[in-house]
Amino acid sequence: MSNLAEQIREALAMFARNGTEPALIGGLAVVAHQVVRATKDVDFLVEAEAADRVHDALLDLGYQCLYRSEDAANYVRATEGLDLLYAHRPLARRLLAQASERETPMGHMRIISVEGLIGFKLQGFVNDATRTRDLDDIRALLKIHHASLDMDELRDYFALFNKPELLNELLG
Amino acid sequence: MNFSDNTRTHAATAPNRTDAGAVLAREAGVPFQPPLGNASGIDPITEWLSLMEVVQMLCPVWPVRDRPMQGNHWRL
Repeated sequence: MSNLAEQIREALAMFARNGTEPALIGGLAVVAHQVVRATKDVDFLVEAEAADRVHDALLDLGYQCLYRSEDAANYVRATEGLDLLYAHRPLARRLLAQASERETPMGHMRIISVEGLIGFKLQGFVNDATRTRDLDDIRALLKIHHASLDMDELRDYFALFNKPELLNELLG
Repeated sequence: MNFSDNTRTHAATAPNRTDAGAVLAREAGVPFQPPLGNASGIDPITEWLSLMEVVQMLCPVWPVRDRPMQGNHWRL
């Protein structure tokens, strides 16, 4: 198993030991939703109530905390990175609760819905417009899953970030 | 070493190919998308692990985040 897979398996075990079941978001969730591309982004959506104990556990595993707020945290360990978003608003809590279950080579994992993933990708882009990778991911997810997407939910996310026209642009 | 273009051969044997606009890449950028659903037996995460084995051989030092997440628009 690769170092990357080991890192993810270790993180999943840590989450389980700490009694929390985060959902995969970010680039690896994009992969899980059928857009296979190179990424080492290990991002999880975690219930906000678990933030402190997950923080302590990551430090115990040798991670260094680069940044931490009520919304997000970034950790690094040598060449490995791990980012967390904290679910404390109703939307994120709902998305976390509704995440699907998946057995993977790294272990049992929960994965955010395609719609929720697009919402988080949009949030990432709005927060940092240099992250054009997020737009590429959204475009690819829309293309692959267009027949099954909940468009009302997606419109709500784009409206939430004052970008209703961007959805139409990305749909092409 | 043979660098001949075998894209046509790959395209014929791949489970599904989409157009380049799909932004799906493996094997030197040949677009790749596993079929939707589980019927094909192709797991995208397994495919990603295979891809990353190669990527890490070619690029053993992958840039990690060196600055915090940006922005003030946390609404989800």
